[in-house]
Amino acid sequence: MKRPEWIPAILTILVVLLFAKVSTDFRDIPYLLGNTTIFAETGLLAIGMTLVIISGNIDLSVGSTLILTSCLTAKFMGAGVPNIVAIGFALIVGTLLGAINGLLVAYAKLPSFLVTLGTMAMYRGVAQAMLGASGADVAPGMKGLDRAALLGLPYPLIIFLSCALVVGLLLHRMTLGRWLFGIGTNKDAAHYTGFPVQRATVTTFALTGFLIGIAALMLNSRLGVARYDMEPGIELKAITIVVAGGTAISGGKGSMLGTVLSWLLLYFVRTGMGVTNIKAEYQLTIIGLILILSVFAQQIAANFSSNRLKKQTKLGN
Amino acid sequence: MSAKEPLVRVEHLNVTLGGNPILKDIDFALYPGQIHAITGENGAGKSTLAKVIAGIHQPAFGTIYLGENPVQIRTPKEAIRQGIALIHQEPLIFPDLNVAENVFVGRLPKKASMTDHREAIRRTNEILQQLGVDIQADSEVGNLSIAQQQMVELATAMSEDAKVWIFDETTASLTSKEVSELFKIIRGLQARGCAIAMVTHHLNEVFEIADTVTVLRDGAKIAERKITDLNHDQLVNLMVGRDIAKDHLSRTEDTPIEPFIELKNLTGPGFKNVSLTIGKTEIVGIAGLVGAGRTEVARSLFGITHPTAGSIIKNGETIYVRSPKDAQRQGFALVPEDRQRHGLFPNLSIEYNTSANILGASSTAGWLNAKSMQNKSLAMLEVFKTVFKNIGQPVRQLSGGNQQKTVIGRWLLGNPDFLILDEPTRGVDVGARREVHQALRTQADSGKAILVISSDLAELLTLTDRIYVMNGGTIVGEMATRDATEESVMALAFGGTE
Amino acid sequence: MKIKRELGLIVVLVIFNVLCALKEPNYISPRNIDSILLWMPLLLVAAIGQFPVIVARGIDISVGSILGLSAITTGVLLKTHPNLSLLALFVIGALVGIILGCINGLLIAFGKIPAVVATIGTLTLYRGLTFMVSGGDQIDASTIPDKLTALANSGWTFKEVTVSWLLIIGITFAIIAACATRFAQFYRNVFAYGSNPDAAYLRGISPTMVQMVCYGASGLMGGIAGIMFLSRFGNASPSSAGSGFELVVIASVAIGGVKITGGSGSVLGVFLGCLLLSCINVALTALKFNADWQQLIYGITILIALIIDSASQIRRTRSAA
Repeated sequence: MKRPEWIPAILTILVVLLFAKVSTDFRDIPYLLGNTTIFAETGLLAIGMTLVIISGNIDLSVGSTLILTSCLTAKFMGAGVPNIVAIGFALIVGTLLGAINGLLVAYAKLPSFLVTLGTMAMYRGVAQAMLGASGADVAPGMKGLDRAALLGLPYPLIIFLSCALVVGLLLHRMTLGRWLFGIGTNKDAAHYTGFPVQRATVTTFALTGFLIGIAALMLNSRLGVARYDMEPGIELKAITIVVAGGTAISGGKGSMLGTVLSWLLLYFVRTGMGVTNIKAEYQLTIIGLILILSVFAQQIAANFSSNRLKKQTKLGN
Repeated sequence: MSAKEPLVRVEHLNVTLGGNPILKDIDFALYPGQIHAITGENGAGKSTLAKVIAGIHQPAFGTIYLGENPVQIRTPKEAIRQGIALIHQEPLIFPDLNVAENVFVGRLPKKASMTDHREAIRRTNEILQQLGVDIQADSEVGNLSIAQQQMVELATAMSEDAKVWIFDETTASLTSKEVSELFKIIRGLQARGCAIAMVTHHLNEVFEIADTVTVLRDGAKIAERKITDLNHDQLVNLMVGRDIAKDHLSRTEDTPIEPFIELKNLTGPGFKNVSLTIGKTEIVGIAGLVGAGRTEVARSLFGITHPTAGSIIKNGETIYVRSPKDAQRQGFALVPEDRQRHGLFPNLSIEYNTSANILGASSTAGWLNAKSMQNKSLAMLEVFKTVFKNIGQPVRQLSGGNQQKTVIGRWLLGNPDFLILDEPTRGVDVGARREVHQALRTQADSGKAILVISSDLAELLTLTDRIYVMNGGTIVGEMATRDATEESVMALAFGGTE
Repeated sequence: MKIKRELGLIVVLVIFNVLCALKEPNYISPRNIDSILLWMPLLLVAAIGQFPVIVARGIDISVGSILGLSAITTGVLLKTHPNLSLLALFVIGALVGIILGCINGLLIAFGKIPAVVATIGTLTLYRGLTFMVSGGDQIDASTIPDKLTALANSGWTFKEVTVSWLLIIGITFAIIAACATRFAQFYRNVFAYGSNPDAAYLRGISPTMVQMVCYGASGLMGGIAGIMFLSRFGNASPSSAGSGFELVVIASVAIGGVKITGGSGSVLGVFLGCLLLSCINVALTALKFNADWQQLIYGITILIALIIDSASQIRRTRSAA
């Protein structure tokens, strides 16, 4: 139980073997690598979500933040703006939207699931009110960047993995990460110990927003047009990746490695569902089912270990 | 004693909580028309006894009799059904509901199987009138004062037609005027033939209201006496009465002490006009009962609550402590009273718990030096002779004593100038206690100022150089430890006549 | 005291409608009033289901999918049994709803899964079932019997304004719920539980029981709303029926003065909240905004309600200290 990451790792291998038997696409490594571009944005959201859930919160608004950032960037950076400006704009917008969540959670002392439920509706609502049914075209210079590759690795995959590495180091090797584990385990004790609970909470949500900014750029580049109804249910995928990767929904426990492995697992599941012609409508359902089963498994494991502890202490006396 | 039969009786009651024996072989009985005080030092098991009778805790061994019949009281609800009411220190209320709904929660009066609010209000007003309290039955309970909320709890028990009333430190958050009103009500209950148990450590209250007193010490029953057979000093002796090995860990040097930390007329939530000084290399204790305001002073010193008047002076300069983070910057450290709620990160590793305070010191630009943190943690755990399997195991798997050592170690690693410890050895076994005490003395000798708040007099007498005594939110006495005895401290802590 | 929020809502309602009428003189027309009255019943029924869930410190995000699955299941049954009576239709919808709601309840009360995670999961699960049941096909107008659509199209007509049977059904439920919140012991227990779960347990109120019944009831009302959906729109598609509906429902409960962190609220408030959201929606079209503004309004509504709660919470702790 000490390293829950082995569960997604083994499952990944099983899934690959299973689908490789069914479909030849699963023996086509370049295809599998190239296809990661469509799942890299979800991965970036999951990286941020890992921090948020470890610190004892949840962010339901990640999908809407992605949409709004991508729509705003496409609309305002229309034609003739240097790429670098558009990139800066997206990162700033994403960070601000995340920070709003963080401020409401940390300072208004509201439960994060309610705050982000509200901003989930609001952010997507702004995008919808702004664009309506039409789409905003992405500046030509920003299109198709996702198809570039380095040594056969598509850029979105590289970006996702580097972000995971950097944020993983932040989480496991730096002060902020330590704070987050403490805050997620026992907020009062964290306050007594002098951790900057509120500042760390805002930082976490803002960082999640920053990562979403990167994801928005990738989404724009991939689709070439930004619409308010892109990527429905992406927040569910992000939460599922995090929880299936062994991060406890109750906070205080988890790892970036688990999230990356779980991302890989869900990527294969998703691709597998695609190549075996499972209808798009059912794909989200299967993700939802995985989410419920993962949390359920966590709760059973937690019960089991606390019962075992009780027995131990009883025997000890 | 009257020839009447007891309403409730327990025999050979044994209770263990989390593996620790809390009550040992207790016999206890409550008679109709009698007020029975249960008293003893903090941690003697008074509240546990109350909670067992009220169905919140289960005995490991022993029998509870209602009248003649042995019964098992498995849930609070069963206790209520048997006519046993427990009045808590913190009123157990539903802030969003009105008084009548609080009183009749889960069992509103019904008419044609529909709840009858008019009837509930009428009956509540009737009960409130009987109690002689001036509260409207339709007011929202969240808007009432603590004392009024307590009255709502009394009304609830009254409506349940309770025959056995157990008051668990009910007076702790009441003013003296409110206490005397409460006592009037309790005498009324007595006159109606109810059996009443008062868990309290306020000896004045014992003498004012009780007929009989049972004294508990370390979970065992020490004595049961009629109140007329006792005087104040005898009761204190019964409560404290143990021989303490007087191995005093006093200061090794005898140099005069410069004040390092001074409080001047500090007033804040739960305390007023507190003035005290602590010097470097000195260990100063604060004695007093639970609720005397000791923990509140510590919390204000550490920036968790904020003083409303007076000043904190460090090294001759007035300082303001706005948050625990701020306090740390000033070189303060606080080992909190409630280890589970405010100290531990139970699911995280021993290393995490020990090193939580040196994150800043062990990092460059936020980048942690894991090796150095681990070494420092190991060294600190070694100082306290902490017993553990490996430094990565969750701290919740350790015994209470070893958990406390990691928390104290955490704060010492931060190398504070001024260390505040609130109940440093509560729930810690004798051996570990001694190790903690010696480590603290070593720290003081190395130049730190240390403030120890403890309900354990033996601890204060062993460890400290000077003792302040608090009562009712203010300091009522100061003495050098070598001149102090348990009796002299207790006499101040319990207060003369208020 | 508690009535304050409801009075405030009435004031907001009046001001809002007056402003709209000033801006667009045709706003107060029989046609617009008709649309407001037709917009409301579905929302009202689902919100009455959500209300006890939120009072008990929970949330049911899956309600839109429950509505969809109830509508589609009933529609599919109608294809093979076109002669089902009105009562039978509502019973089928209610049964589907109760079963789905109880699954939520089991996951939350016994599985100990946080309500938001459990119901966001079942949101997709039930949506998937909708596709499975329908095979991906629409339920089109020819399947829906006239007697069902008549509930939406006819009713009591005063002058040019029609109070549809649907609204009458909705208001009937609201009245029953209002009486129940006051006169049913169980409902009072829900309020006690939401106000102080620990104290409720010590006073013998079972938390699992409260949660099971609340989520079951929310499912039940969602299921009934599904039948009303068929009646109101005359068709249903497995992908869109009830999709996104949860936000409207939660927004109307939140703005209706139900303390979103649990423990207090009233059916009258919920009713007014539904009415306000209905007015806003109709006003959007009347004032030539398009429907694209709806989502934004729901989001803002939820956030405003949250901030009001938070402010009053902080005030209460201040005054207590």
